[in-house]
Amino acid sequence: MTSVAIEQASVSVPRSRLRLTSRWVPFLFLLPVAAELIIFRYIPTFSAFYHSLTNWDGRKKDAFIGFKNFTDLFNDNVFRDAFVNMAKYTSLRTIAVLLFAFIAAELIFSIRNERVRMFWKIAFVIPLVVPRSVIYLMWAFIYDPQVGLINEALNLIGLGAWQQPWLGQSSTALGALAFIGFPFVSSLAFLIFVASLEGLPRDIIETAQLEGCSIWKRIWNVDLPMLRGGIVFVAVLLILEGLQTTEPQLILTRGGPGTSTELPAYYLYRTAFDYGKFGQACAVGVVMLGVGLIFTAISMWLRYRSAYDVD
Amino acid sequence: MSTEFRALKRYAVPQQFALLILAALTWYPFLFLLATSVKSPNQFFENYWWFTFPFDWANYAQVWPKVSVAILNSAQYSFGTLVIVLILSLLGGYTFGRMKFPGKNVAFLCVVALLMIPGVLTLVPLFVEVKALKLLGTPWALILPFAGFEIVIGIYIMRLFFERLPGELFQAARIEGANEVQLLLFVALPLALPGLGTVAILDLLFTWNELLWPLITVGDATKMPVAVAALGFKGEHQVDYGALFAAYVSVSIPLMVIFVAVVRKFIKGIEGI
Repeated sequence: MTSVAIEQASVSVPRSRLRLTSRWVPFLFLLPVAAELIIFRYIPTFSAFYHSLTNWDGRKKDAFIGFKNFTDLFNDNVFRDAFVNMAKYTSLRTIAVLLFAFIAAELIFSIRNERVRMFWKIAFVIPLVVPRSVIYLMWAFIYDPQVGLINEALNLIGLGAWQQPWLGQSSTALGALAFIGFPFVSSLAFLIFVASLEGLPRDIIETAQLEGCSIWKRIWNVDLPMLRGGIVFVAVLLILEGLQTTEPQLILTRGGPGTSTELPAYYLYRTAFDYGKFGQACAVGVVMLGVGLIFTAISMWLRYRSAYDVD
Repeated sequence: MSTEFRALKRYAVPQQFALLILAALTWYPFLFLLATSVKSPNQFFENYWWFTFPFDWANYAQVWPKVSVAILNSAQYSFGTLVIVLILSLLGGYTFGRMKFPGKNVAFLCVVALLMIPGVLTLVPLFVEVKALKLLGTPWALILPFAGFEIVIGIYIMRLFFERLPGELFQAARIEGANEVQLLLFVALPLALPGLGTVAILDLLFTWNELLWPLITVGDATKMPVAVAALGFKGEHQVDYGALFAAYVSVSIPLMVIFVAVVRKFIKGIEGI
């Protein structure tokens, strides 16, 4: 090989040099990308897997302890509560966001004038840039037992007896967290749904109208099946987001009252940074990765099992 | 045009009404925040639900010293992250979108597979690593890890973007004798600006919102970005809702201004994904 390359080089120096350099260009361009991803994504990922099997605490030298971290986890009632809460919180929230984002997208899609559609899109998208911690703090006020918006509104319409300390009692706290951001229209989910609806082939919609198909039938039999790719994509994003939720706990409830709003990601944070059990925290992370992968696999299966898709 | 939407048109009025209700539910809490932020404590108890006149700007003057520090911190972190994310997304997107090389598919898979790795999995190891690299206490402790998360989606978006551009543009430049670096800087970069805009907005959203990572890595309260600083205001102003909400509104404004200017392009960009 090398002798051939040298022979060619001697015949036509500029051309082979060009070829030689251009062959390396893609790798040269990707070098900084690879460095960044390896240092800040891949090394920590492998480190997490390795350390989930150790008693790492960030100070002493760690020792290999097999699957003890994992068995400890599933024997811990707090973690089990967190896991059940995660299932409730994530499913409730995913369904609510999908539903409201889809309803709003259909409402906008049904408007004929493109400018009016753009107006509504912008109206719903602007609040997206309010910092999330401000959103949570705002909802802290909405749920406030003394001066909060919900309790004041109940008072105003004569339902003062229904007033609750929404975040302060275990019966309503998790539901209240899942409800944050209502009516959920200001989201990427909504934008993706509108874009997918507007991308539907016009002739199919037209045929549906001509055949006398009602709006509801069209949504059920045309829009929903055709949008399945987008819906599954958004659902995966929402589930992964739900699994990683720590902000409402950090800002509002600290996992309480009791363990009623404890979630695994927040449990991980406390395990590491309150109790210094780094190895155990990594084990929580590995469990969460597993759950995320299972949900993604199910979603992919839903996405590809039938031939409705157009894209 | 007439037949397609004739049936839909009948529903236009109730639909606009439904949208109006959804928009009111979305916007009212923000308007409430805004209204309360320009009220004195007395005005708050006089009229709870809506704006009162005259506006009392004292709340903003009161919180501005701390808010401005937080905004400057966030601006610094966001700018640093943005520069790295844009450069690496351009490089990665262009290389994957327009070049052929052995191992391309495997390399791309190695990038997008990271979408599946949740941030919480690497929270602890990344913290220990950043500490070992002696980055704690510097802006790099935020900038470099943030960039590691954001370039994944950035490269994905830019690859899609470059693949959809007509190949002739690049061939023409190549025939003219442009080398790969010239091609990247003078052909790819100007064409990539709309895609980079979408990446930039997604990046800014991520950086301004991130709460957990700065909470762990930034020890100094005067170096906190807005997401964390906002929590501090609550402790300080307890039931002084006017001042508290003035702080919340102030930290929301910078990104809001940028976003309003580019929102149409952003919506178009998302539609392209």
